[in-house]
Amino acid sequence: MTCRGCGACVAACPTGALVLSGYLNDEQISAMLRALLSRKSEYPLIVAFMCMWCGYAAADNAGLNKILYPTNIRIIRVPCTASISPKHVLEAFKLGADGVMIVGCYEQDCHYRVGRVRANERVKVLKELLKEVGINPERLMIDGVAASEGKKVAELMRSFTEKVAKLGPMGSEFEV
Amino acid sequence: MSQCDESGHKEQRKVLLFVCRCGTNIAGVVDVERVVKYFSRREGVVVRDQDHCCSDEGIRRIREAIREEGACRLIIACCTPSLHGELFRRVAEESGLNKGFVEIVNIREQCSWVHYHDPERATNKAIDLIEMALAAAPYASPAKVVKVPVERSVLIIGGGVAGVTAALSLAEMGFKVYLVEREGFIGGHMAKWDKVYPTLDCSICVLGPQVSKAYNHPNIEVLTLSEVKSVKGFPGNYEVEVLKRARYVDEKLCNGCNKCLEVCPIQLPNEYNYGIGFRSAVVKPYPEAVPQAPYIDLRHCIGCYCCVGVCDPKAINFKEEDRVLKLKVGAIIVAVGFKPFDPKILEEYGYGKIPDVITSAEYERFLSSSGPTRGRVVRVSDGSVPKRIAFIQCVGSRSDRIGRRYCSRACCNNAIKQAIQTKLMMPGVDITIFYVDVRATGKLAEEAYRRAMDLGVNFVKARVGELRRTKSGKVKVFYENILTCEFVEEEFDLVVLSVGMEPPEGLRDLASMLGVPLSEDGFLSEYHLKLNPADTFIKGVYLAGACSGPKDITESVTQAGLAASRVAELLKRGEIELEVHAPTIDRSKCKLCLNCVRACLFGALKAGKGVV
Repeated sequence: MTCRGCGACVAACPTGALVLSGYLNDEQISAMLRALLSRKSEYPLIVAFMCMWCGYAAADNAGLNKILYPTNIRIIRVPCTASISPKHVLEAFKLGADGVMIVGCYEQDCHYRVGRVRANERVKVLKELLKEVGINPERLMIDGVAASEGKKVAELMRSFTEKVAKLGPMGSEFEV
Repeated sequence: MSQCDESGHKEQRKVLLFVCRCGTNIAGVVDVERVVKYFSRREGVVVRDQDHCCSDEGIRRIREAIREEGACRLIIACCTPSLHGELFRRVAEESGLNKGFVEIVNIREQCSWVHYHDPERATNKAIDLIEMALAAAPYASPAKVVKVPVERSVLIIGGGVAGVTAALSLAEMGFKVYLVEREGFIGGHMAKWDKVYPTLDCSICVLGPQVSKAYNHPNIEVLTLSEVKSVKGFPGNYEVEVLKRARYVDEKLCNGCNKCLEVCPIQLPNEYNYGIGFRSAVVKPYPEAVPQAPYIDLRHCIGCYCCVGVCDPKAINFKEEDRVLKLKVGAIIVAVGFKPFDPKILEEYGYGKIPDVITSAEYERFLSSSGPTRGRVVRVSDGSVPKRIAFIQCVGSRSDRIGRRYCSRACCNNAIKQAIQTKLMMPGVDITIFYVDVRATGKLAEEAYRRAMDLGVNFVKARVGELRRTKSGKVKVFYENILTCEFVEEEFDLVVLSVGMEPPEGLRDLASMLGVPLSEDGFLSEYHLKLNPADTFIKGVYLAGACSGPKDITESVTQAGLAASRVAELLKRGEIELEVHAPTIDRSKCKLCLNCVRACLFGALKAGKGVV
């Protein structure tokens, strides 16, 4: 009962041997990404992973307050930003997502204490990796909001959409 | 019962898709017909639209459809899963479908409500989101539920009227209650109030017996001078550490003779009266205080032992030490209340510099028979009786400038009450209330407002720009009369600032300890403002009183009762069902790299044994 179900271990598992129950599992998220990105119904198309405590709750709050933001973002609800597997971020880019945003709690407010800090570390490494393979690391972002900050999360989504639109479609950096 | 064969081909499982119109909330923006049509030809998918899936009718149709279609997966595209996710999962479970096979697609809060500017794209997004859920559905795993025994005890943080009310209610139901109070005595702000609106009822006469009953209740353990230091665990089973600071007076031995208060030679500004008047280093702010034993303020004690000398029951013990208590509780109610707004940051009002500018909380202490003047209203500067008194409303409320947009709700009614009380006590006094809007809401409040007008209280719609002390020692009020558009200067003997409510000290730390989010205004967030005002996003943690936003006594007591009943619902059966979110391990895939053990934030994974 010490486990609080944040999913940090699942994201760290290199072989997919761990499955978190009650939330979207690895296979489900992969299937969602495939379904979404094979369609690419919009440009730019951004995949957002949001933690259920702050990011996702703030997006709900934006809805409650009817704060407009661009339609380009598809939100996937996760227990904690630490549960987001680097595999899925890379998979999203590989399948053609123009941007990936990760929105969690503020570092000090993380429901699982240090989950958001872990996610920051992963994003740092992922950005390096993206740079190495020639993808603009600006296509990946992480930030924190409080559950009540609908306005802030809407603003993040708006500014990130604009930024990604300026970067051009995914892969345009390869066409030199 | 559904005909799901989990061993069969994943792609062949039948999916039931409901698209909720939610009146016009969704259908007004998202073209539900188009969505339904889009998915209607999909093999293995049965799609239905519904006006309100959450209604009795909607639930019946979902239930019937699961049975009739033999669906193995249920997808409902509707509002956020935080709102009705649990409801739909329960409905599925009752219809023979494991709740792990239910997926909620958020097309209201995260689609129709935020994209009403572009219905075409909103509809495309809704289709995308449903496509994603459909793709994920075959891979869903069943939810695991365990039954866990619960502690039949409750921690209540805050001993004001909300905390005391909740404590008594739960104690009467047979639960063990730990009532933790930061100050030396229970009763909170209400104990400081002389009379309460709208009826001018004597505050301590109604609160006193409640507080006394709580203190003496066999099921309630009152821990004063105490603070919660840490909270661990899960709903039904929390381990809490409480720091109980030394009182140096034995609560059981003390007979309440108050001799120690009289002999203590120390004189300090009395914080209880907001610095007006004096207290000794032996502290008991008013005679009816509960517990009846005072506490010793060791920081200011000079160790003369005069108090020890006069204490017949030998209740004073300077050897007492601070203790950390470890409590096991099943649920937690947060009832830490509010802090009166400190108007010092509003420099134009000169609070803290002009002696005859005081807050409504300080004014109440003047009105109180246990206050520094024993119930007489005087000017702080010279002790004379004021002939003209002004009340200024919305001080620290409804202001963008200082980042406090909210209305503090109680201040209008309180100013009206204080004005009536003053008029009855000193009929010749001239009283003006400078208001922005009079928000005298609640039962009998309008009647009180009219009574104040009948008694000759002047109501002037104005924002006061500045207060200045005149040479003759009066306070000059500079204001713009909003109705006549005139700039006016007027002199008063005493000015009362009707201060609003702020989140109390330390609320942010407590919130992060409990995992309860704060609202934009800095108070705690409730699960749902309308229907779950006493719940938080954390099952097992509940709210009572002004800690979730300004409330008056009536509202605090009402919410405290609700919080108590929510706790009883959770704990009464002696065990609760919890969904397990712990991971399972596929040993055939595990290479024993132990990355997971290092990644675990809580030390729950142990090498050698696999997974907890």
